[in-house]
Amino acid sequence: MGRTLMYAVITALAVFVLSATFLLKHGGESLASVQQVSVHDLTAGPSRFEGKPVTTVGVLGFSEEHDRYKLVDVDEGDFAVIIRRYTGGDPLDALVGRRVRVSGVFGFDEGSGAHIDASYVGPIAD
Amino acid sequence: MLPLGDDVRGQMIAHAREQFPKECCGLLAGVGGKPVKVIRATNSEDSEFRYRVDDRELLRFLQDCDDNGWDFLAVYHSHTRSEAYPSPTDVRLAGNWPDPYYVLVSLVDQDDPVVRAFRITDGEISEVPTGDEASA
Repeated sequence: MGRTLMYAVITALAVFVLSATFLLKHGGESLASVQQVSVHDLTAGPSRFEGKPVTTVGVLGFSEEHDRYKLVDVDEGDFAVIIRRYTGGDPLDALVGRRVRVSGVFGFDEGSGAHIDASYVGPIAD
Repeated sequence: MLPLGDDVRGQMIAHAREQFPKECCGLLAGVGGKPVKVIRATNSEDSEFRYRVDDRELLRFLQDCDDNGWDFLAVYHSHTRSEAYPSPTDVRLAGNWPDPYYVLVSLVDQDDPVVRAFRITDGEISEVPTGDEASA
């Protein structure tokens, strides 16, 4: 009886470990590698998106603290991500205060906080 | 309700037939809940059993939506060997994109393709009328 119980526990643990491994590997699956996510979610759970391609929408601003452009959550202005390494052609000054889409790779570190190494910044038609 | 109409339905079926036996995938842009544009996408899985929309094409589609005032209305893909109903994999793939509709084109009967639309939210599947349920 004791041995049967032990085998049952070991089997249950094995199933748990395999399931957890599968979920970690496949749980982030998406219809594309890039994920659409809000600024709020990027800042609230940055570790979930670190190193991943994302696309997000917000209001473009400028962070004096970081001397960089920032993207502010449309609904909750307290949340913002810094836009780094944008090498697009047009200067972004003209877009400050407008709703824009930013696409790129998300990251999080002590220097910049939540940031996107942006490959695209573009306005959204009103 | 996702009113597909004969033209949109026909474009998706034609795409599915061209890609057969592999799965096709694409995107629908809409205005006011009605499709205005069918965008074929590359299935980066290049598979008979799975699909994944090419990243660059998806981002370009989103930018086109932004530029033109369109909504990201739906994602479509084909099932070549099973019914037009989301598989467990389809449900997983929809997890990070809950807003668009999901349209399935089944070519199980190639002479009579079936097109159905669904919402997939928090893993729950609910079928959405397309306004032409009786025809293929």
